[in-house]
Amino acid sequence: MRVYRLWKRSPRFLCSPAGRPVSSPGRLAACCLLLAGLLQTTGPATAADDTSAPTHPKIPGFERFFADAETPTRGGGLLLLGELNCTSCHAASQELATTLLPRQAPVLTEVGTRVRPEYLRKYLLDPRATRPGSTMPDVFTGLSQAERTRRVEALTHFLASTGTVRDEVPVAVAVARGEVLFHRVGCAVCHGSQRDGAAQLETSVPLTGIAEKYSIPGLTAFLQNPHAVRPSGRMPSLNLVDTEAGDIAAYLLRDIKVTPNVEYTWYTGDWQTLPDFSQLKPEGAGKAAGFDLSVSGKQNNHGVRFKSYLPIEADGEYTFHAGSDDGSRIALNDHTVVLNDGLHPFTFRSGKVKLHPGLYYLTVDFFQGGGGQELRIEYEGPGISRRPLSSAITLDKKATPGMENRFKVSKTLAAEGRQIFQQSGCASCHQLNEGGSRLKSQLAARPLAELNTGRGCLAENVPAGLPAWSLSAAQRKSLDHVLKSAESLQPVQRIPHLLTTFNCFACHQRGEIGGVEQARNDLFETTIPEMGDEGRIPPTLEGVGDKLNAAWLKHVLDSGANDRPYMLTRMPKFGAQAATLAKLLTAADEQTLAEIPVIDQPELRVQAIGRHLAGDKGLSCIKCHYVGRIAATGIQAMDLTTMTRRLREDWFQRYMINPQVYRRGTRMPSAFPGGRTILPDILDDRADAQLRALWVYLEMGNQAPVPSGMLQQAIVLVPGDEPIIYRNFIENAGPRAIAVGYPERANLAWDADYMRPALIWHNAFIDASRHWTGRGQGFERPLGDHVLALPAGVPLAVLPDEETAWPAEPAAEAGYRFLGYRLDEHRRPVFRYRLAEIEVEDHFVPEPGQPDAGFRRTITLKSPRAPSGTLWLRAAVGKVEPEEGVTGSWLIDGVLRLQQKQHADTADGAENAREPLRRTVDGKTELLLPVRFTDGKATLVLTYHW
Amino acid sequence: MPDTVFRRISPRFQRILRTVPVLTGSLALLLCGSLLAAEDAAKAAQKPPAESDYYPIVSLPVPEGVVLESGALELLADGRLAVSTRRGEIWLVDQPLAEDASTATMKRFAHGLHEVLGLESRDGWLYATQRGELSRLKDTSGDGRADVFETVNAGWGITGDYHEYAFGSKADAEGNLWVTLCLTGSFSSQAPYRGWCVRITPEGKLIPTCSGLRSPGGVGANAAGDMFYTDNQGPWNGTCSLKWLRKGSFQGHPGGNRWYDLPAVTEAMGAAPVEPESGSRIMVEAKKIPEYEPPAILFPYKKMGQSASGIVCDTTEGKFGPFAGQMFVGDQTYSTIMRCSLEKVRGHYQGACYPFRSGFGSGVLALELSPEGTLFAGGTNRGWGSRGTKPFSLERMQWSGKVPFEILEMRARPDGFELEFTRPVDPETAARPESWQLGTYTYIYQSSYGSPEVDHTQPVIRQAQVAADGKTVTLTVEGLQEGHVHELHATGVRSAEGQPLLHTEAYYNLNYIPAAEQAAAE
Repeated sequence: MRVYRLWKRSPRFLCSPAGRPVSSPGRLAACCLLLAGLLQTTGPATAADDTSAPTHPKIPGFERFFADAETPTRGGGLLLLGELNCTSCHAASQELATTLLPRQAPVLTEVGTRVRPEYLRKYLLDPRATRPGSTMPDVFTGLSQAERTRRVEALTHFLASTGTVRDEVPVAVAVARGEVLFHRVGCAVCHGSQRDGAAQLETSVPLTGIAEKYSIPGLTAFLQNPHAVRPSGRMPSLNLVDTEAGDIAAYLLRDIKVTPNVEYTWYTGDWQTLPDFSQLKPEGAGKAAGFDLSVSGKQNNHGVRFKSYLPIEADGEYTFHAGSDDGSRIALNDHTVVLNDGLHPFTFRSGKVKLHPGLYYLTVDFFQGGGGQELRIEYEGPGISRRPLSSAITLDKKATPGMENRFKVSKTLAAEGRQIFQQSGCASCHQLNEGGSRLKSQLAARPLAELNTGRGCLAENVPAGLPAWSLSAAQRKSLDHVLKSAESLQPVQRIPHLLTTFNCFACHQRGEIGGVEQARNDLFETTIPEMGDEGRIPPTLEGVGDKLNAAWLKHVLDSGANDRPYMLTRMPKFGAQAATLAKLLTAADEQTLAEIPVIDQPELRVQAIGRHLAGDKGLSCIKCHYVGRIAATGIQAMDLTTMTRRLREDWFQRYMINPQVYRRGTRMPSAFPGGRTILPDILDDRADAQLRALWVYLEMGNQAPVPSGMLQQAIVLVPGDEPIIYRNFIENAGPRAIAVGYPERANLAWDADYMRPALIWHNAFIDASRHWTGRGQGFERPLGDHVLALPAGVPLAVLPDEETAWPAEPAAEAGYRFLGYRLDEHRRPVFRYRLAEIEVEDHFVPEPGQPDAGFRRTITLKSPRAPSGTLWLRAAVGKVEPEEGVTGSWLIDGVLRLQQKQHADTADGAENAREPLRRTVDGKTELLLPVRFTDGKATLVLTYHW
Repeated sequence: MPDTVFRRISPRFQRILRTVPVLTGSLALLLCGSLLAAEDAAKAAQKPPAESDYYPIVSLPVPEGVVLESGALELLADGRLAVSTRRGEIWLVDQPLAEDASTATMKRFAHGLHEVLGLESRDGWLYATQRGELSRLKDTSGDGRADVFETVNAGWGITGDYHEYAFGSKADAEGNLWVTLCLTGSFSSQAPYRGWCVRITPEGKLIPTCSGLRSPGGVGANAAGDMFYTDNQGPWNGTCSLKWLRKGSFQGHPGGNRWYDLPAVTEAMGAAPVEPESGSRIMVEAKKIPEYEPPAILFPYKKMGQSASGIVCDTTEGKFGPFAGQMFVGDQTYSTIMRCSLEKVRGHYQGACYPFRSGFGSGVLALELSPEGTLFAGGTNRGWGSRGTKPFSLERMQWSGKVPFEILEMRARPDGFELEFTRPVDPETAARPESWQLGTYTYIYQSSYGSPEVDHTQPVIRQAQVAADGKTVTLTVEGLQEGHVHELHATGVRSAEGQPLLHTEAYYNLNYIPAAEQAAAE
């Protein structure tokens, strides 16, 4: 019988700091109890003697759970029987075959379009060395090297005869996107991180040699639908969309070397549209493979011109696509075919052109302003599906593009290879269809039931002529062990077996088995870190057949799911084979324990009660769960409208009473402490009835009306007789902003980080709802009109000379200290700060104006002594125009009329008498006003009208 | 202002003090005699004891239109209660102790402040800890409204993340206010002192005091005047906790350690501690990192609560019931107040927490205890849900004068625990080992969010010995686990009158097992 040896430790949680198992008596006892039914000791422990070469077939589940088992187990053996596809040669009983769900070998029907012949040759010559961990045996054992080489050559020609590989160049942006995707969506969970220096884990399926094996189009096609080639679901589909498959392929094949096929020149400049590159002096030039923007080494303000030749073989209409961020152009023989000009995010534009056979002179121009940059040039035409143009161009006027090193299939060799394919057992495992029917294997092998242990394929030294897997000692022992006992798995035992088979345990835990390995923990990411591991680590499968309804469980396994948008690792599509698992889980887990009450009220009233319960005046589900497209007020946990589609109501009733029982460590609070509702006035204080009502409401799905508390309403602050002060995060006024709304409908935001007025505006003051509902994330903008930004940076400085730029350092570093504010008799704040020994007050008072009120600003400075050198106030930055005929009046940026009012005590005889200074430094024009101290005191009065 | 003299009294002396009212209570009970006992027992059978019998909660009226999301509370010398709000207002409640709570009125003292989570009155000023600074406010015109808003210190950084909260304490013996600063986004430290505790001197100087904070929920002193704060489950915090802000210590989250490079920090704290290893255990790391002060009390997640918040210490000398000298900590999610007892073992605080009172109107955040023994609790559930369904609340709670049958204090012994009760136990049930259930576990100390309970063990209670006065039971335990929470359920224990405990559970955080000589010295 059974299978699963005791876990020494759970990799996620039980690892002690030194990596030693944490052994505490309680923990071990708990494990023992839980696993007692699954655990079997088959006899005295034998010494572990796994000394086989590290190239034995790598099956993650075997490596993780069985490879270092002290005694072989049936579970390990059965796993190998299925994963090595033994039963494709050695016929098994129908019952066993069903139980195993054997892993079918890749379908080779069009392998020539996918895999490079050179790789096939190398791989067939020595599968183990070429792809360590491969599950394909060496079928040419015992042959002379010459004979082996001959047969492999023939097989290679046969397989290559099924199609030709199309090549493409990896593009830097795609590689970058692919790297993120590969490590984030789930690829790396089975294959391991491919980043430089990442450890290769024993439990990973290695990707060794992948760059030799595939071309980008071939791998892309495979990733888009892996089940077409590998029907048994071990390589699941991640439901990749848009460019995702291509991006991952580009990343995995990033080191492909392709013959240069373009000449480029690059330029720098600040353009709004494509310049005429022929009139510019290039900064650099060279040859590249494909339209590679990295040739300039620039991210911003550069342009590249690519030149190449496009051979056209067939007469007809061709369509060219220029996709770019920012502008691009495609020209053939100097005639523009597509123009995608201007500064813009990534967009495609297309153009059609009739072409005759011949060689065309191709120009592709590109320019980049700022932000993201990308260039994709594609084409399609008679007999040519839409594809990157880089696969069709050449710098060699005589050559046919892409044919330089193309493998030439010999018909004779291919015919011979076809025979070998049938005779040597290839056809036993690999499906290869010709004209719709599968090539038959001519190899005969004994049925599984008649096999002897330790012999044939299972011998330590496999006899000549038999397929050799280089099995590890543990693998041989496990297979031997399983051959000795004929009984099949019981349905309940099939669950861990299948969870291992499909490597579900790499992400999910069930009971004490599986779950994320510590070494892969960092691969699991979330968009909402605050959700903790619940937002990041795939859910437990404990009781999953109780939780999810049968149809949904089947759907999830069959098609994948994406109900947790915050979780970046995806639940992949395993296909119909894995869906078998759904039935087993349902049968094993499903419980009917809750008594679901009938509520004697019309459904629409029950729905309304449920809606109330979901809202902020009920159970507050909406604080954390979003509803359809309406965001929750806290974290964004799963969409409430999907619940009834997924869950069983019986489970829902029990879960809601005590979530912790069903989901250990969940942040989902129980709204029913001790099984009692916290809302006794609803439905006669009955928790079950309330949950029923909630369920009925949730069953409305995307028709469900939004519960109370979700639609955030504006909280407009309106000054009455006195100003309103609002101190919070305000956009362009900083995290220490102090906004003031005055009754005169002129408003101010003063930035206490820089001691400066930051914004002034008219009419409505501010909407406080961003900060006064939910958690209050983010910076709020003024609610009113005519918002004007005043100079950034510190307000006052002594400059060594008139050419020195205004200091950019933060106020604290420049010697400023905020002192707070006092309210004047009309309760308007007078802001106070200190600069070194100068104490400053900054007082804004609205004054009438047309058509809107303005401000009269009085800045008072006190200092025990006048500063050495002129102290300047930076009054304005921008276009500064002195107003004709009026002294001390300027128009700033054509909108703000700024006037300096003379003050009696500073008009004459002041120390450091200087005139206002209008100057341009570093391309910025600014207006500086001198601060004139008299008897240690200075006052500046400015009016602002806009 | 609470009696600072009392704060300096040693814990030992306080223990003596605290027994006085309890003794009188039990004497009275004895005198009333057995006639009543039978009647009591009959009543007890009908209706189990409820928290509200001992500590009734009363709401204070909030005027229509006022959103009183209380962030901090402070009783003023004139008897008014200052309430600051997350919307930046400060309200003064007149007659907060009025017998009929509904007659209390309130008036707005200030507005336009930035989420005030600390209040303290001193020398005619009201000190308010805002997100970006410590300020002090005064009404100079006498119209009952503040007109001077002085910045005392704005020396910590703020980037505009909502998680960048600042909680301010009451003044310590030197007049310093301690400010606990949440990390940016509760994960990292993007501006100076995020994830730190700083103290602001009466002169307005900032002194870096502790590193390693994550997401504080409150800060307050114990009876000895040592400062504590609550931290919440998240990275490097397996569950919520009460932590001792030992000067110069590291509190466990290395996210803010980059500020050890600041000259002010080097001067006050020295070099940065060694970074803890993720995936380890608290006490494993505490032994490696001398600066690391392990949490004094862990509030087991989902058992005690989910969001530990405000802190008060019972310095009323018995006016608040039998728990004099103990600390009370709010839980925002559970809308509860929990009770904590602390003892010092090998120079570090550790102790136990107990359920105390549930059923507050909103998520409990701010607490204040009057010298007369009235506990004020302010609540909010904005952004974070709570069991109390009101969006905000201001409530007060007094002791009814009846002594609940509770575990008064669980203390560690070299070979077990000593349990002191508020009333004499029934010696027969208390002496049965099977009346008690004890399990232990701890949490992973790790960089990812929170932790499940791990490393469970099942110690064996060999003996339960009841002291002559019936108030103390000594448990001899085989298999104490240093560094584990010891979760005790005294479900089988009955009072001398046959009543069950009001709360049967206690969670002792056994960071250190006391050595035999220390136990003897006590």
